Amino acid sequence: MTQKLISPQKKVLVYTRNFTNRLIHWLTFFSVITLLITGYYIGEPTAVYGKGEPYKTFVMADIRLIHFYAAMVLDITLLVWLYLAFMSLHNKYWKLLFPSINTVKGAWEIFKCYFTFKKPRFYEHFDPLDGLIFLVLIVLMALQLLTGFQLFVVALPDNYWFAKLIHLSTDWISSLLGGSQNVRLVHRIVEWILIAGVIVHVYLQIAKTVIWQDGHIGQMVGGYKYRDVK
Amino acid sequence: MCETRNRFVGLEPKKRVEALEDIDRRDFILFCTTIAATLGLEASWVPKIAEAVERAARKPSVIWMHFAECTGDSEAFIRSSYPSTEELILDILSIDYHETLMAASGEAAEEALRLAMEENDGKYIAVCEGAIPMATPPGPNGKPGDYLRVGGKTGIELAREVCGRAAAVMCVGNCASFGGVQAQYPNPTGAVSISKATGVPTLNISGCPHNVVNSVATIINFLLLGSLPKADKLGRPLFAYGKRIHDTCPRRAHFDAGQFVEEFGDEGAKDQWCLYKVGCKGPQTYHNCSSVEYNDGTSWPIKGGHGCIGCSEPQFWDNMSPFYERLPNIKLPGVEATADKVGLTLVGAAATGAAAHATYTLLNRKKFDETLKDDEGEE
Repeated sequence: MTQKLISPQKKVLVYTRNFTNRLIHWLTFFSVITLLITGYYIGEPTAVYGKGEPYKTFVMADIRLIHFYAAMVLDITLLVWLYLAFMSLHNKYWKLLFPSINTVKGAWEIFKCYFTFKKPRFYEHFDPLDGLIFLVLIVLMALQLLTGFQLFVVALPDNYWFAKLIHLSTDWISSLLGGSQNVRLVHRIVEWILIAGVIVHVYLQIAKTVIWQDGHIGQMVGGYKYRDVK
Repeated sequence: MCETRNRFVGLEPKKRVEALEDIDRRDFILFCTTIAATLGLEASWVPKIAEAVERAARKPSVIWMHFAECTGDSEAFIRSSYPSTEELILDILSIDYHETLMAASGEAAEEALRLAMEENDGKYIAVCEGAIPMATPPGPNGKPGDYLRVGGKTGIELAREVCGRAAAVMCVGNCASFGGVQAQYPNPTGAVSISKATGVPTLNISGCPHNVVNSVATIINFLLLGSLPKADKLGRPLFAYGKRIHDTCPRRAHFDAGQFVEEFGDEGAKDQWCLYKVGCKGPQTYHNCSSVEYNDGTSWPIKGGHGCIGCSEPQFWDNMSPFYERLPNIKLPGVEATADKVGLTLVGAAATGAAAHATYTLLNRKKFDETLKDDEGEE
């Protein structure tokens, strides 16, 4: 842990997020925002329509293309994230994936702090409440990945290797959900839950930074946050 | 049509073949070409198809069974003109048993079925139309499958008997292939598809009704190569069900352009724009309607300005409904709502929660200022 003293008695800067961490966060951020906007349009085309003859306007085709590129970025980012959860040299955060009773209890303690304004104890990477929210977001994104591939693969020729790979790895989700319409429905609902999740996540980070003045939200830019010295 | 058919009435099979020689060669070759195109074969296959068909004319080959259905597939079948119905019945397929088309009735009909099965044991093609009811009717005398009895036998018994001795079983229409409308919730008769009822693997020419060109092409494929065409995992032949409606849709350009019919009868509808927003299920339906079309290439739903309802997909009445919405509704206890309404409520709740907490924090600002001071005081 790298520490820098900024003011002799009160606070130290702690290096909590390395470059890869931050890169993953912002790649996820930009791809998810793009996906939410383009995905909403693909499900329910509104506001923007092609004008003139269809041979020279490609509104839906372009938006779908952006959606697919953003989805590829998110999918690869998720896979890298999953790899680093176990293999990272900086912080192996795989415990995040397997929450225990203690995590839930810890999250409840943190949740109460938001109303009592008592400062919770210092967590270097993320507190249990954030951990639970990350887990939910990750699971939702993974669900979008699986259902999204199922919706994407129908447009590919069957003997194409990528189509075969998708069929092999994600066909089970279709049979689990019971048909293409349910896959679409889940893809749509999870989109909404993700929007709600993003609101909760962003708000909690802002609130935390404002209430406890620990520069929490800045760590995703610079990599440092404050720790009180007792 | 009737005249042509009358020529054959009452003739022995061998004499029928002689009578066939009167049929126009030109029409016959046109038919062979249509079939070659549907199967995706090149022109050099046309003579081979002609040969296979001529050979087959000498073999009685098809037993057409009706189960729980509306005869819609037979209706579609008799509206075929390339090949024409009489060609189909007499020289191409030699349909030996077809409850609604044959002249015989009563015991004679049952005898015809028995004879047809014995003469061509293990060699005939069983064409099945309709689902099989498996449930037991309520009441003291109810037996499993009693909802359907033909000639004293239940649908299950008949299906097992006919399909079990066939060289190949072909299901026409959605009912035989996947259960159709009678197998939808709550399914009071316990209707299931032929393959589920009999355990015999079937080739499914799905659709409501089936497209006769696809059914005939499948049989020709069988005559030509001695095997059924390659099928997808739902048992539908790939030459007809390998692509989605959406992939070859004539309105696809408007989809990609972002030009959608908002409601039936608006300007977009007049300009034949994409029917995506009024519930077209083309993007998830595998069928070749857009290239073959129905009733001799006259039309098909999307050409007529109505979205696809996915009639070639399993359980489409349940799964694809509501037919005029893109997505199914979410059934919560007591409420049925669209996905977007549920989603908006969720997002609204999250935003309200955040706003409420922000207000709470601002109102209790003093308190947390003190907490911060306390922290400082401790040091």
